Order: sequence, then structure tokens, then C-alpha cells
Amino acid sequence: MDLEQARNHLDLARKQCDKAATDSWEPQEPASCVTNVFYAYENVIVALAECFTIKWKKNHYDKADVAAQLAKEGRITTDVSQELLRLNTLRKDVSYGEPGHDLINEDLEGLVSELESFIDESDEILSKLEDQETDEDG
Amino acid sequence: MDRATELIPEVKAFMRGIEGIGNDLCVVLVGSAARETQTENSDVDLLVISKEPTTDLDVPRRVHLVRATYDDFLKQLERGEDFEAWCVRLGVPVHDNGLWSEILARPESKVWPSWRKKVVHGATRLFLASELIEIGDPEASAEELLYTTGHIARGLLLKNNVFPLSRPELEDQVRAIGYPHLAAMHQQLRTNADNDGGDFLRRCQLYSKRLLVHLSAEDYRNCSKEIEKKKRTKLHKKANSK
Repeated sequence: MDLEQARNHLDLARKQCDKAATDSWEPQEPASCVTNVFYAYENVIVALAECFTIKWKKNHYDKADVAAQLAKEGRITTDVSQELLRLNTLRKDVSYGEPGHDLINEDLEGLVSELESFIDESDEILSKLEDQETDEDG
Repeated sequence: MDRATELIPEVKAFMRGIEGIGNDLCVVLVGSAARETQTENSDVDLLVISKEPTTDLDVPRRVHLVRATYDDFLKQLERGEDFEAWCVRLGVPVHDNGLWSEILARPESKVWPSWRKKVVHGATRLFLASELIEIGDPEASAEELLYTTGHIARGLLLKNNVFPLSRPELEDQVRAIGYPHLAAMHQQLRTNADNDGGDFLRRCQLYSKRLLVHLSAEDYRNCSKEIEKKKRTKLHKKANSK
């Protein structure tokens, strides 16, 4: 368990979420928004993996598996594994060039709002563990 | 399905999933799997074309599906987009209901892709990578820089009348036209090789900018202006909302 690493990843996720929120405003920037949301989710999953000493690899599919494991073990209420895989495809559509049909029709504000809730839930988990660690040290 | 595509389990799984609706669409294997240059980290890229937009297709893990309608695909070819041009030149049809043959026979399929579009695509990715470097996410910025250098490599090749092949093949291609440094950078980003942290990413960032300006200073400047303008508008909105 490395709570310092976990906090670093969660802080990154918050910054990416802020960026995505700005991207969701008019004039919208769907490519940047979806990419930031995707990386933010991955950073939250890595943060939670660090909280519960789950091994993770620098691989998108592996992080989706960790997300499923976290939900299965009851560590978090939402299983975001399918959302991670969907976002991975969505952001790739634009990395080839122009945004595709699916990306243009994505509800960006909704996407950011769901991410925010997920970050908040994860922050509560991490804060509790940080408090426990402080108590034990004290 | 030919023998090569039959050997890819993800393609087989996808084809099983579309049983019954095969008459409405064509399926083409694209990307590194089509060139047999895929690595263990590669996804299997499949292009699906239909007359009407397709929904609810069952997509197996590790398959990246690109969907397009027949009309949109032709429009993209006509506009000089290189992804569509790649598909018609190097894609391997897995299932053709007749649409793919029709596309290949169209004059749009012979259009040489625009290298100038790659400047815009490359610059857009570079700005995103730069933001990720700034907030301190090296893993994400390395991935965005891989896309950036890929766009630059394709732009340089197209400008030199060389058609870009699959991602792993780009390095030899750009080396052959005189850009060994770009080849080395792209390879290091693609293989996730250990780098010297932020310094390597900063070098990639600066070198990418230099190459984009070298490709077309005018297009790069216009693209930067556009991005900066959007940024300013949003900063203004953010300030007003507080």
C-alpha cells in the first residue's frame, strides 16, 4: 500500500477532470475532453490499486481488469471497467484524425459529471486510509 | 475470410458476433494486423462500412472498431484523410457484401492523402501532450506524443510521395527519407522503452514542434492560433463564472 502514490494519481485525475470540464464547454473540444476523462479514470484506478495493494501494469486492458476487480471485491460501488474500454475506443477514433460519429454525439458534460462522482467516492476511500495511517503512526 | 484473417481469434470472434447482419455491412482488417506487423500490445483494428449507421455491434476485447457509412467514408477519402486512404490501399477485406469492391472502384479511392492535414492532427495531439506534461502525467503524455510523432511521420512521408505503412513500419520509412532522430523517438515511445523521464518527453515535445513547423509553418501557426483562441475564450468564461 503506497498512499502517497495513490494521492499523486488522484491529484492527477482531478487536474485532468478539470481540464475535461473546460473542454466540455462551448466551443466544445470532444477529442481533448474524452482523452482527459479516459486518463483521469485510469489514474483513479491506479490510485485505488495503490490503496489496496493490487498489482497494476502500464496497459489499458490491465487497468480495466483492476477496475472490475475493485468493484467485484466491493472496494468501490461502480464497475467502470466497461466504461474504460469504451473510452479507450472513443479516444482512438480521433487519434487517427477527425472525430468520428460516436465522439461527436457524446454527452461531454454527462461524462465529466460521472467522472467527478467517481473521483469523489475514491477520494473518500483514500482519505479514510490516510487518516488510519496517521492514527497508527501517531 | 482468407487464411491470414482466419488465424486472428479476435476477427473470428467479431465475425461470429455479426452473424445474421453480414449482408448489411463489410468488414476490413486494417492497421498493423493487416500488415502482419502487430506486437503483443497492438489492438486488432477493424473497419466496418455500411449504408446506414450501425449500432450495438458486439466488439470483442482488443478489437478497435472504426465504423463509417459508405457516404461518409467516400467523403473522407475525397477530403484527403490518410486513414481512409490507408484502408483502401492496404486494408484486407474480411467480409465484403459488395460495398468494399464498390469503394475500391470509385475515383475517390485514388486520391493521394493530404500531408497538410497531418500538420493539424499532429499539432492538436502535441498541444494535448504538452498539457499532460505540464500537469505531470508522463505515461499519458508519452502516449499522446506517440500519436503526435506518428502524424508527423505520416505527413513527412506523404509530402515525399511515400505512402505510410503501419505504425511499426513507419520508423524504417522515415529513416529512409532522412529523419533518423524521428524514427528513434517514435520507436522509443512505441515500445514503452525506459526513458530518462521528463527530459525525454520534453525533447520529444520540442522536436515535434520543430518538425511540424518544418512541414508547414503556416498550418502550424494557424492551428496554434485556433487552439489559443479557444483557450482564451474558456479562461474568460471560467473567470466570469467565479
